[in-house]
Amino acid sequence: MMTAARVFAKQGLNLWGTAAGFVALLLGLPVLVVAGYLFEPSGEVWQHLLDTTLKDYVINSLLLMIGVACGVLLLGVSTAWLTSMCEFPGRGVFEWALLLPMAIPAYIIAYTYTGLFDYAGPFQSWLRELLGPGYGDYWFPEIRSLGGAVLMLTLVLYPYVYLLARAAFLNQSLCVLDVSRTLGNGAWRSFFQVALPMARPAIVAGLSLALMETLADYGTVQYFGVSTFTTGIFRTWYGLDNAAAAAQLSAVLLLFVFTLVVLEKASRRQARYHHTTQRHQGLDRFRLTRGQAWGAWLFCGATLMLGFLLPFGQLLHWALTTADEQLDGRFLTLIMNSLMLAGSASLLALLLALFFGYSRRLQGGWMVAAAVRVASMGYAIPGTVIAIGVMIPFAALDNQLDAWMRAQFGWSSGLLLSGTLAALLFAYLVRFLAVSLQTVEAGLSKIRPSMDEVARSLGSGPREILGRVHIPMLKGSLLTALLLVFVDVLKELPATLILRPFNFNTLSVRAYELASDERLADAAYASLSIVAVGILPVILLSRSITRSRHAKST
Amino acid sequence: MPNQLEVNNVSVSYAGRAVVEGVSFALQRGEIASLLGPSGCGKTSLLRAIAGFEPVSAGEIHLHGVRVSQPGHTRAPEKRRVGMVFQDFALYPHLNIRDNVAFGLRGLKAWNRRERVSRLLELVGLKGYESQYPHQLSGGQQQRVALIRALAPKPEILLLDEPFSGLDVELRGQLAQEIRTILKQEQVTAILVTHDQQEAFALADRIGVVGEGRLRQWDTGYTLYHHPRDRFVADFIGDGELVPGQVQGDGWIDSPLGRVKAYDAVGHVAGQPVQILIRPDDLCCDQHSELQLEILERVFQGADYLYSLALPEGGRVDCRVRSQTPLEVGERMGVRLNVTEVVVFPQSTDLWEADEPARPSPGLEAVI
Repeated sequence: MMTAARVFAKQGLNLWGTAAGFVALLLGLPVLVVAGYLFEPSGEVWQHLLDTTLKDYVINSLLLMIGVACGVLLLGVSTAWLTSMCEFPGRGVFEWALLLPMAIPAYIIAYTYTGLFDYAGPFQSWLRELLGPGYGDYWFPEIRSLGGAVLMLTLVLYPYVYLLARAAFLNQSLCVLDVSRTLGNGAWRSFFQVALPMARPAIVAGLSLALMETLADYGTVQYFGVSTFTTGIFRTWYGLDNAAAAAQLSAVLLLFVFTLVVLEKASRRQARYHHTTQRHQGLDRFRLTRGQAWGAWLFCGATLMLGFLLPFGQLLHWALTTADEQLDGRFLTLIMNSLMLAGSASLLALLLALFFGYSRRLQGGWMVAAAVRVASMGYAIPGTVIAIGVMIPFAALDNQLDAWMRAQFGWSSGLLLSGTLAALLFAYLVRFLAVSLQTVEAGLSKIRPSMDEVARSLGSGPREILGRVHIPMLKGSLLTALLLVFVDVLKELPATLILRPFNFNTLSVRAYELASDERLADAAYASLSIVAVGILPVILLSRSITRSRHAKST
Repeated sequence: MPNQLEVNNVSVSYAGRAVVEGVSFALQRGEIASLLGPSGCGKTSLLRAIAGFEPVSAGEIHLHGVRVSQPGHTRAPEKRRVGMVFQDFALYPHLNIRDNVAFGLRGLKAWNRRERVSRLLELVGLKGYESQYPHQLSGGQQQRVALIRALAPKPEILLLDEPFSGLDVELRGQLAQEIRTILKQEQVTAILVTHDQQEAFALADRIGVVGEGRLRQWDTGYTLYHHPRDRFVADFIGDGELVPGQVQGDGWIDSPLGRVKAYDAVGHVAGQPVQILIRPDDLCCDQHSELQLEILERVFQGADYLYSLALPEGGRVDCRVRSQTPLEVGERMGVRLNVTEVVVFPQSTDLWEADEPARPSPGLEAVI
């Protein structure tokens, strides 16, 4: 849109750029506040942390990341390879069903598995009945442990790797794999020598996303009693009541995240250059032998079973047995609260995303580009860190305002920002705007500038172009953007825990509270509601997968 | 009756740098013109200025006698009644073919609108595609839809921006002919922007060659080919080489290829060194000729062989010969000039530097 840009430039007023820069700065504030604590002189509490628990946080977080990395690579890459490059019965179903675990937040699968495999759970009870030993007579792996947390996170995070690896395999398939096969390499050799190295950037990108989620996780590690950064931040914030030390811990966590972001960005850039062809003719999948096909089916089936069917079934079972006591007015309030929060956050995020998207389209320039980058920084930042970053400046502002009001009018304004939904909504925007923005920008990029210009040459003014071209063409993307943020907000736990107003509960907070009270079955309704809504974007994703498959086969 | 389009001394600038400078031409109603030039020469900027997407930094544009562009004032594209066909067609993916074509039809009764759409679809042989969506159509069909969508509101002028570049090569020539027939039938005034001379020849009545932001020559295709006004045009249109020569009296030129008559000898004094343009078809093979030249390269082109020959005093010249008994590279070939008049350029000109690096021989380009 050179034209519009030049018209604005002529007025000598970089209106869009200035506005976008201002909003972006506001959204970047929490991260900047936290990052600032990196340079703050360390206090006594910090020294205490350093001497005692910090080492644990670092080691546990690292172990968790290493474990999850191995797990998601193993599950994600192998299932992606099997469903994209091999032919076996049920492949078409697995192709989309393997995404389903994405719908379950890690803390919910953790509650469910604890219920299933605990000493008192159905599995161990069944074992005891079968074998007849008493307590302590047999060894059973403890689910509430670091290893358990690794397993839980792996089971719900592998779809990130699966998705990106699958796309990479499909893109490279025709040109390079066929060459490899004509050069006499078999399926295994082709995989390790050609497909895997070429898909590496995509796989690394998926891996870094999964690890960002791992670092952000609070619910699982807290429930399993594993001391990591997020639980440490909570403990310092609430237990030690020390904001500065919590912020400093957050800042160290930010360093970890930053490494991952750099890794992800770098590999995505590489991935773009790795596409060697745009032609996707119907690809010739490897035909598996009968035994291999069974193996493939079992592997994919087990992944799906453990990642989705089992926990989902258990939640359903609990929900049915607790229906009478749980389905009451309080549950309705929970639903209303969550819908209201998620609805308004996704709507606000959409409006902001449209604002940034159109700024970029109409104005362009480095200022808007930088603003967009700052505004979408939050997607990598753990909710805990954002909550701390929101709380500190908001509380300071509230205190200032309150003191001023009291001095001037003798009347206390109380907590205007930090104790209200405003803080929570703001934190959600910081964290999830990137999701909305990405979707909106993808939609906008489909409306090529020539489409605007055709409409103008056919006599349409700006308003008509918006109504007849942009809105109809963007409709799908806007709905998707709304849905994605909605679901993310619904699942979000740590930021909601820290920032929610007193006595304000959401589905995720309620599930957390009930599970912490060892009332796992009672938590099922809240958990199940989150999972049920979470399935919607997964359906969208899998639909786009099948659609692209049909497009390729025609 | 005023000209349908008048472009008077128009310049277009980006950030103070002129990409189009002092261009003037006019089109009668129903005339089809082409702006032809290499990429980045400013032809698209000129087209966009006519459409109203770019302001002019100097000069004026008149459409049907109405001034629509002058410095400081640009009538908006939506108020100009220009039709535009883009390189990427820019069909609306959310609208079916009928609604795409009807997009610019306003103020018509529903029945009239349907009538107009189906008449246009019939015109381009797409009847029955009304409820299809753009992605279901082939490239050539999409191109036709883009064309009639632009024609539907009966624009004052139709602007086509590289409309064939997204299509298969075989399809281009055929479509260009088809579109010319339709435009003539509908008496549409049109401008085609292209870098492909064959397209321009096939479609346009008049062709403006644009180079480095300036209109080099405004003529028919025939004149551009046979009587290019400067080296830029000579170089851009058709193949050929510049061969040194010397002016004799009476408009004759002495050259290594023999004595030949100059097309326009005005301004050349006897004894002056000049350069003459020799096209591959200006030379013919004659083994009895005294002039025997060494063959440097040979390219098979189907009906012809294109030979590249060394001139005795350096430089080369191309010669196209029916492909029968080929001569080998390194052999000598007898040639003779087979042209009544040649175009003459002074030794050095300010329009196109003489020491411009030589283009690879056109035959080679065809092979690569």
